Amino acid sequence: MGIWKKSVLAAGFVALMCGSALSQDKPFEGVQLKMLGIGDTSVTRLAKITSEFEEQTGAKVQIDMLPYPGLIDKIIIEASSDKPTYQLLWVDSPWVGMLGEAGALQDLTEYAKRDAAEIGLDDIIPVQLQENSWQGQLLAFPASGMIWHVNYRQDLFDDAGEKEAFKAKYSYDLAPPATWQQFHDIAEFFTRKKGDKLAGKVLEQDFYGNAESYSRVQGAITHDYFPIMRGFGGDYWDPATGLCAMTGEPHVKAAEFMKSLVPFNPPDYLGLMWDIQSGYMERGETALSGYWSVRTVRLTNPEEAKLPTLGKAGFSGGPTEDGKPQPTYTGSLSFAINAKVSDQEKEAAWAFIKWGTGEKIMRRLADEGWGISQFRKSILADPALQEKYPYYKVLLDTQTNARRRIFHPFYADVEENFGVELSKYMAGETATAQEALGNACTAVNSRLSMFPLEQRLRWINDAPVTVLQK
Amino acid sequence: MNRLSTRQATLVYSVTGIILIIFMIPIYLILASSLKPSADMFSRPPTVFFTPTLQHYVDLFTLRPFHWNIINSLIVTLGSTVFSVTIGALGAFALSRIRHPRINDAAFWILSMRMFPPIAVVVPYYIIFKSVGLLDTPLALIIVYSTANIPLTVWLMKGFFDEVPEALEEAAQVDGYGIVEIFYRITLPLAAPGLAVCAVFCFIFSWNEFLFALMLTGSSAQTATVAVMSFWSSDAVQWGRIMAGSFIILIPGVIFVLTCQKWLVKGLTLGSVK
Amino acid sequence: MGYVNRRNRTIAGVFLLPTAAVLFLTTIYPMLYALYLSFRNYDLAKPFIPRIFVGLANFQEVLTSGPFLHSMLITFKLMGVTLFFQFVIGVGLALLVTQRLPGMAAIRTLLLIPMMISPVIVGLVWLFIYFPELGYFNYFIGLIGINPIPWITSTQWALTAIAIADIWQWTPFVMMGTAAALQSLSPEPYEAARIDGNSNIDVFLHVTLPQLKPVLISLLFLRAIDAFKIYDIIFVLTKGGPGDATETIALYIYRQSFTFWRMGVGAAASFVSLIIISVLITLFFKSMQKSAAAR
Repeated sequence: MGIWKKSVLAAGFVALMCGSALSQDKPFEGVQLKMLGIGDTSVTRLAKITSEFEEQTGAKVQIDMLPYPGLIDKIIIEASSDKPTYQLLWVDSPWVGMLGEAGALQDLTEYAKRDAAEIGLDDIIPVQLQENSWQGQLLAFPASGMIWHVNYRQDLFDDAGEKEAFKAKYSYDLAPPATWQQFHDIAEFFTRKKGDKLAGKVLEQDFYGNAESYSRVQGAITHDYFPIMRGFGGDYWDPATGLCAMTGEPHVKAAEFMKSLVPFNPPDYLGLMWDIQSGYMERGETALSGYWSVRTVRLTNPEEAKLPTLGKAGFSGGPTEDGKPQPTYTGSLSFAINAKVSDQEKEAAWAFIKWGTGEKIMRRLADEGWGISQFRKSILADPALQEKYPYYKVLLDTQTNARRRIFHPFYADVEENFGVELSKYMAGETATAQEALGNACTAVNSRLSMFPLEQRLRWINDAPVTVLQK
Repeated sequence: MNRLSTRQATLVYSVTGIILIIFMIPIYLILASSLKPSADMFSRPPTVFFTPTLQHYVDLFTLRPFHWNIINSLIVTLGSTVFSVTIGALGAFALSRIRHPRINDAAFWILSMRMFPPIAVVVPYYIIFKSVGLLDTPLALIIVYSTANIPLTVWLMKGFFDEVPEALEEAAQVDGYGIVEIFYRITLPLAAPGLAVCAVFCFIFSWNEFLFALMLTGSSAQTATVAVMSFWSSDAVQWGRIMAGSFIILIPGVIFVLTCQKWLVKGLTLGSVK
Repeated sequence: MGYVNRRNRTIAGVFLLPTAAVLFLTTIYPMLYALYLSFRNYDLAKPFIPRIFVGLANFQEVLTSGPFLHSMLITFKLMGVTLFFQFVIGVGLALLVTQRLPGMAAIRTLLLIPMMISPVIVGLVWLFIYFPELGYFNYFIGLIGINPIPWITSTQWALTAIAIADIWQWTPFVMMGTAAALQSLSPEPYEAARIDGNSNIDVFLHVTLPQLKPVLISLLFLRAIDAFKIYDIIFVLTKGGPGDATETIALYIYRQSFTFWRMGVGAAASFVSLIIISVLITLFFKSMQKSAAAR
C-alpha cells in the first residue's frame, strides 16, 4: 500500500511538473477551436497543417469546410444564437458590414495594436485592413486579398502582325487597355471566326475578344458590373441621402458597356458564372477578361490552366473612362472571431489568425506553389515571387490606389436586386439600362428609406480603420 | 400478358434501349468528368477522349475526411429509414383499420407535414438542436428527415394494409392472438414488400438531402452530399472532385435499390392496386 | 367489423400514437415559430431592426407582390410540364420494361439511377450538358448540323432546360410505381378484351388504364408535393435567371428568408404556399375518393 501511494504521488508530481512546463510553452493547452469555414485554396491548405499550430500553442483547431453557397446563411444563423458553436468565422469582406452592425464579430483593434510588430501590421496593404473594418473597428483579418483587374493573352499582344493590324485599324498601339474604349476596341479586334487567322495561325474554332460574367448564379454578374461601374467613376451610394445612387451616368454607361461587349463574348454569356468565365482565359480562348484576382492565381497553375495561357498571360489594372488611374474596388477573404465566445477562446482564436495569416505561412504557401491572392507588401514585392507569380506586381500596384467594395449591412439586397435587374437587361427583357438600374435601386431603397437619414449616412461612411492610426 | 412475337420483341428492345441510353448519358458524364484532368473539364468542343486520372478520387479522401462523410450519411440515412418505416407502419395500420369519419383528416394532417417549405423551418430547427446539444450530430438529421419520411411511409403503407384481408386478422383473433401480435405475426409479413418500397423512398430522400444537412451539421456529422458540394468554393468550383464524389455516393443507393428490387416490384403491386 | 370496433381504441393508442406524437413533437415548435415570424417584421441578420408585430402586412405583401405571383406562375408552369411528361414517359416506359423479355429486370434497375442522385448534383451534371458552347448537347447536335440551343442562357429556354432535368430525374419514380402496378393486373380482363378483338391501344385505354388509375393518382399526389417545392436544381442551374425566368416559389421564399433575411415575409410566403398546395391536394384527394366510390 505504502509503495503504491508513494509511486502514485511521485507520478502525480512528475505529471504536474510536466503539465506546468507544458502550459507555459503552450498557452492554449486544451482549448478547442472550431472554424465555420470554406474549402478554398488557402483554407484547404491550412486545414492540413493545423497540427503545427497545435504543437506551438496547444489549441486544437477544427475547420469545417462548407460550400460557398449557403455559408453566409449558416454564419447568420450561428451569429443569431446565444451559445456559440464556432469561435472562428470565415468571411467574405462584403459581409463585414452586416455582421458588424449585428455585433457578431469581435473587434480585433486592440489585439492587432498589441501585436502589431508580430503580425507585421505595416506590411499589410492598408486597404486590406480597411476592407475588413466597420465603423473604424477592425472586425476581420485578411487571409487573402483581391482586386478586380484585367487578364489578357500576352502572346497575342506581343505578336508583330496583330500589333500592326491593330494600329492600322484603330490608329494607336496595341497595349493593355487603359480606357474602357480601348478595352472595347481590343475585344472587338480579337473576336474572330473559325477559319480566320489569329497570330498567323488558322483558327479551328471561334475566338472571343472578351469573357465577362453575365450569369445570376452566385451573383456573378454583379461581381463584374460593380468594378466596371467603379472604373467609370461611379459608386454605390448617394453621399447626401445614404440611398442607392446607381442610376447615374457612370452606372448607366457601365451597364451599356457590358451589354456592348456581348457580341465579343462566348455565346454562353448569360450562363457565364465566374468559374466558367475564367475558364475561357485559362484555356486561352479569349483575348482579355476582367475578373477578381482569387481566380487569376489559377493562370499560373498547370493543373488548371492550359497553354497558351500558361506563362503567357498578361495582367494589368482595371481600365477607367479617361485612362487616368482611379481607385478600384478591392476585396478580402478573411478570418474573424465570433464576438460571443470566452476571452480565452478569443485569445486562442486570435493566435490562430496570427499564425494562419502570418508572413511565415503566407510565404510558405507561395513557395509551395499554392496560388493565393496575397496581401502582404513584402511578399508581393519579392522579385523571386514576382517572377513566379507575375500578377503579384498588379496586385501590389493597384491596391495602393484602391477603395473597398460594398460593406453595407444591406449589401445582399444590392447584390440580389442588381443581379436580377442587370440579368434582365442583358437578356433583353428590360429595354434600357436606365430602367433596369432604376428598378434595382427602387427595390433597395424601399427597405433603406425606412431608416433615419443619420443611420443611413453612418452605414455608407467608410470610417478610417483605427488600427492604422498612430 | 401475352407473349410477344420476335418483331414486337425487337421493337420493345430498341425503344427501351434508346431511352436507356438517353437516360444514362448524364450518369456517364458524372463518371467521365470524375476521371478528367481539371484543365480538360470544360473545353470547346467538349473533350470526349482524354487520359483518365484518379486524382480527383485521391483528393476527395486526402483533402476531406470523405470516408467519415460516407459513414455519417449511412448512419443518418439508415437511422431515419428504420425509424420512419417502423413508426410509419404502425401509424398506417391504425389509419387503415380505424373506422371513424375524421380518419381521413388525420391522414391528411400527417401528409401535410411534408408540404411545408423546408426553408421556413431551418432556423427553428437550428435553435432547438443547439439548445439541446444535438447540433452537428446524426440524431438531429435523423429527426428532421423523419418528419418527411414518416408521412410518406404512412401514406404508402396505408395502401398496402388496406389490401390485407381483415378476415385473416379476425381468424387470428379467434385463435387467441392480441392485436399487437396480429399486427406483427399476420398483417406485417403480408405487407412486408410495402416496407421495402417505403425503405427505398426514405433512403433516397435522406441520402440526398442538402439544405438541412448543410445547416445542421459541421464536420462531425457532415454528410457526403454536403462534403461533395463543399468543393464549390469561393475561388473555384472543383468540378472533378464534385463529380468523383457524386459517383461514389451513387453506389450505396444503387446497392440498396438492388437489394430491395425483388421486393420492390412485388411490394407496390400488392399495396396500391385494388 | 366488430373486431375492428372493439379494438379501435387499442389501435389508436398503440399504433397511431407514436406517429402522431413524433410528428407533433418534432414539427410543433418549427411550425409555431414560423407562424410567429409570419406576423412580424423579423430580420435575422439585422437585430437592430425592431422585430415588431405587423399584423397581416407580410401576407398582404406576399399576395400583392409581383415577384411572388410571377414565381407562382412559373411554379405551376413547371409543375404542369414536368408532371405531364413524367407520367407519359414513365407509364410508357413501365409498359416496355414489364414485357417478359430477358434482361428487362436489369434495364429497370439502371433506369432507377437518376432518382438516386442528389438534386443539387443533378443540377451540376446538367450544366455539363446545357452550356451553349462548352456543353455536350450542342456539340452533338452541331455534328449533325443543328444550330446550338441556348438552354440555360435564354429566357425562352431556361424553364424548358430545368423541366428536362427534372423530368429526367423523376420519370423513374413514376415508372417504378406504374411497373409494379402493371405486373399485378389480373389477366382475365385482357383475355376477354382480346377475344372481343380489340386493338392493343383499345386494350390499354379501356382495360389497363382504368386499373392503373388509383396508383397513378397516388403517384401524382407525391410528385405534385415535391414539384411544388422544386429548388435545388434551379439553385444550381440558373438561380432563377436569366432575369427572373425560372423563379419558383421556393426560390422566392429562399430569397426573402435568407438572402434578404426577411424571415417574416418568407414565413408568410411559406404558409401561403402550404395553403395552395393543400387545396390542390384536397382536390386530388376528393377525386380519388370519388373514383374509388364509382368503382
